[in-house]
Parts: sequence; C-alpha cells; structure tokens
Amino acid sequence: MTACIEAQGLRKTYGSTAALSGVDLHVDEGRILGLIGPNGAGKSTTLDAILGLIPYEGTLQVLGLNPWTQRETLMQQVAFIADVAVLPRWLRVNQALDYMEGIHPRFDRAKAEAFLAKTSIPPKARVKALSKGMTAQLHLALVMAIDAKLLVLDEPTLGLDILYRRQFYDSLLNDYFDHRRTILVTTHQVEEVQHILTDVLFIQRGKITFSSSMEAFETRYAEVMVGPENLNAARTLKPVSERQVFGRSVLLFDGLEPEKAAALGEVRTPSLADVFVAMMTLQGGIQ
Amino acid sequence: MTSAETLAIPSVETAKTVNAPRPFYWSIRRELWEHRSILFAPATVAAAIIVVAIARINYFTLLIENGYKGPNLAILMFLVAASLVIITATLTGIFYSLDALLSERRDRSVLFWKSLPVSDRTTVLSKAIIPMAVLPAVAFAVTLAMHILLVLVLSVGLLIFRQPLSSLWSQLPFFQIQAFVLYVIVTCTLWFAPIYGWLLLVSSISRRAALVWAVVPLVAAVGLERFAFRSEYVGRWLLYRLAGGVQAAFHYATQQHGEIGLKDATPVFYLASPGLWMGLAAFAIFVFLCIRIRRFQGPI
Repeated sequence: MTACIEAQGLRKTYGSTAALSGVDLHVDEGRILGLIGPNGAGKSTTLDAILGLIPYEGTLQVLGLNPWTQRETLMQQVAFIADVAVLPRWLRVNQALDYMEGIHPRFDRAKAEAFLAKTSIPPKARVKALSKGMTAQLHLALVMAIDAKLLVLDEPTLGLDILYRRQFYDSLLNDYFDHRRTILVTTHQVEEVQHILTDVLFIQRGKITFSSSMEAFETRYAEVMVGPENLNAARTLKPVSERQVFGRSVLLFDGLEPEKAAALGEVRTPSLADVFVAMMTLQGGIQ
Repeated sequence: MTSAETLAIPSVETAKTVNAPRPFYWSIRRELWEHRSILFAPATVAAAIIVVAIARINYFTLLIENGYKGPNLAILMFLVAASLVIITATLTGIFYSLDALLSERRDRSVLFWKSLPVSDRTTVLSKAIIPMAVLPAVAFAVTLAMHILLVLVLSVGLLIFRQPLSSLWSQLPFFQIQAFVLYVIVTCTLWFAPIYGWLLLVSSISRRAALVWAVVPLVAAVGLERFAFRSEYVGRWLLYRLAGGVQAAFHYATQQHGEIGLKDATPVFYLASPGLWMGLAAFAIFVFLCIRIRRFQGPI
C-alpha cells in the first residue's frame, strides 16, 4: 500500500518553544485518521507542515511531494478545511463556485451545486450573510467537489451545533469517502469522530504518544467497574487508570484478557475519549 | 441479474470534463470581487461629474460659449474632469495596495486561499497588477466614457440654449485629449510603481495600521536627516519620486501660452530617465519580497 503521508523526525520550533519534537508518521492511503491531543500539543502545527504552510525540520512527504517546496502541485490533490471561519466574508456562493472552477483542475462544479441544492444556502448570498453552520456546509460542498486524494480537517466543526456536526461527518462518510481517499482530522469532539475513524493517533507535547487502528483499539482496552471486594486484586493487574464513579472504582486496562476482566466486575469497551483522558492524565499531558 | 439491471448500473467514470485552470485570471477576478472600489470609485466620481454637468448645464454652456472667443475653457474642463477620475483611481490604488496582503491574513481567509493550488507568485502578481494595470485601464475607460457623455450633455445644452454646436466641437480636439490622458496615466503609473511596491510590501509585513507603517519611516527619515545632518536628500528624493514622473514626461515651459498638452510630451526623455528604470527595478524587488514573505505568513 502506498503511503499517503510519511514523516520522520518532524520538528518545528517557535522561538524557544518546540511545537513538534520529532514526529514520526506513516499514514496509508484509504484511512481515516484522527489526530487527537490537548491544546497546544502540536496538532495544528503538524497539519500546517503537511499542508505546506510552514517550514519544518526533518523529512516529510505527502503524496510523494515535499509540501513546503511543492505546495502548489500538492494542493491539486489535497483539500483542507480549517475551522469554519476561513471563507472570506465578502465572497458570494456563486463566486466561490466560479473561482474554484476557474483555478482547480480537479473541481467538479456540478457536484458542488448538487450538494448545495440539498441545503438552504441561497446561491447568491455572501458568506457574511450565512450562519456558521451554513458556512461550514458551503466549505464542505466546495471541498467535496474536489477529487482530492487527501482531505485534511482541522477542527472542522468547531462552534457548530450538534445537528450540523452530525450532518457534516455523515456527508463526509456517505458522499465523499470511498476507501481510496485519505482523511486526516483533528478535533476536540472525540466522541463524534470515533465511529468514523479507522486509525487514531494521540499527540502530546509535540510527540506521537499513541498510535493504533480502531479495530485494535477496541479489542485492546477494557474498562471494568470493580466492586470494593475485587479492588486490590484488580490493582495488581496494572490498570492504566482508575477513577471513581458513584463511589465505585472504574479501572481501565490495556490488553487484559476478557475472562480476567469479566471476573473482576462489569466490563465495557471504553470510548476513545475515556482512553484519551486516561493517557493524558497519566502522562501529565494536561498542563 | 436481468439485462435491465445491468443497464441501470452507472458506467464507470464518464470522461470528466477537464477544466483548464486559469489561476491568474481568476485571482484578478477575486480581487475585483473583494475590492469593489476598484471599479466603483472612479465610476462614481465620473458619474458625479456628469450629474454636476447636467445640473449646471447653463453655466457650462456659457463657459463653452465664452471659451469660443477667449481662452479654451472646454479643454480645461475636460482635463479637470479627467484628472479627478485619475486622482481617484490613484488613491484607490494606494489604499488597495496597503490592504492587499493584510486583509487576507486579518480575516484568516489566507488559510482558504492557501488550501488551493494557486502559488504565492500568482497571488502576489495578481495583486500587484491591480494598481499597475487594472486601475489605470479602469481610469482610462471611465475617463473616455465620461468624456463622451460630457460631449453629449454639452451638445444638448448648446442646442437647448440655441448656441452653435461648433463652439464646442471646434475647440475640443477630442482624440488628442484621449491620447494625452492615456499618456499621463501610463507615465504616472510606471513612475509610481515603486510606491505601489512599497505599499504592497508594508501590507505583507504589517499586522495592523499599514498606512502608519508605510508613511512613518519615510517621514522619520526626512526629519532625522534634517535634524542630524541639516540636509534634505531624502526629502528631495521622495519629492522626485512623487513629482519627477510628470517632470520627465513633459517639458513644460511656463511662459509659453496655452495649456499643457501632448505637444509638451517628452516620451524619449521619459524613457531615458534613470528614475523610471530604477523605480521599476525597485518595484520588481518589492514584489519579489512580497512573494517570499507570503510563503511564510499565516493568519494573524
């Protein structure tokens, strides 16, 4: 399988602070990868480097190209949505379509129009007249009409209500993703992307601290609600974390056999958010 | 599977229409969408002049009628009208240049533009060409249209007041005026090129108050020089940059009778003046720097 993104020892410093301190990344084609980390962990910096927006140290290849020196060529095959507020307020919907059609060799106007027709966005409205949710829909319509190999989403649903967020990811999965494209997404709303991801990365203080496919993730972790009688036994099995819920202890285990887990108490599969919080707390990731 | 079902299956990837991208053209269109004043400001001034001409038609026809006997006031009237449009276009160009590379960073839309396959060079050149070619072309086209309308308005006025049309037509060398206007626009624009380049550079660096950053260093340099060295080379150099273009493009002897016109044009002297070429070289350097800088710039 061809690598869509390949990074080795990716570094970036701003003044004396290191935003990225040696990120290694290998993303295969056709994956939906979530890059998850606390604020200031280096998520956006990683994306900026991948998109050729900032210079960096180390080696980085995106679709076989160097993003910093070959941004223009790369961007024919990469689409990008940053948080909702980047479409210029003066732009009209039809102007956006004209412009994209005029400059982008892989933009399919009919596709964008078909998507927009399903929304309530007036075709001649300016972006400043649209709600946040509509602006996100417009941006999504523009991006989904690009026949891109890699789609990068940086907090794409920030500030949107739950209806728009749902719809955003549903459209992405149903109308866009086809297993040949690769999607890289960062977000704080971990719960909402969990079901669409195929792979997940945790980033912390400029380093990748955890990397797994979602299938492996789901079999690997177990959360057990342990009664007081089993607590000491459970603690000897080296839980990743322990927290109290309604006076009972909830322990998160990494790679515990299912039989052992069942013997200790009520078992459930933890969500990505649970594991994320546990690992970040464990490693002092929340400053 | 029946044959009908087979037919219903959509064919694999029909030949996709391939757009031939024209990023430079569309980048200029983009600038015109964002900065509507590029078209509107000169057009509004011209429209206002026409309105004044219609409102005060009796006054202007009288001027024409008097000019027929005395000094040529028709030409003067047309040139004053043209200069108002040209000055408006120039001011529009100045404020446009100051904003061109700043506004996209301020409203974060630079992240959108940079997510598209348009190079920094294309983007910066499409912005540099607005004050250098688009606005001058707009200024000329608007002036021409305004002059044609003025001739019509004044002719109607003369007819209404039962004056001979020849009083206007005989004293108005229409095509020479247009050639003169075009010469002024081209020579001034090329001469001002480094000013636009400087303003673009300031807009690519500054985070706010671009006008202050553009003007203060120059004023400070003049003041400092006067204070520290009691000389005024910087001031003279600035003055040369502002007014030298007209001086080079025309040889105008004040004692001569008549208005400045094409007869005073000195295109060879203008083309041979080092100030022109040094200015254009400075413009090229400024634009080159803008391209390099935009590569590193994100939203502010």
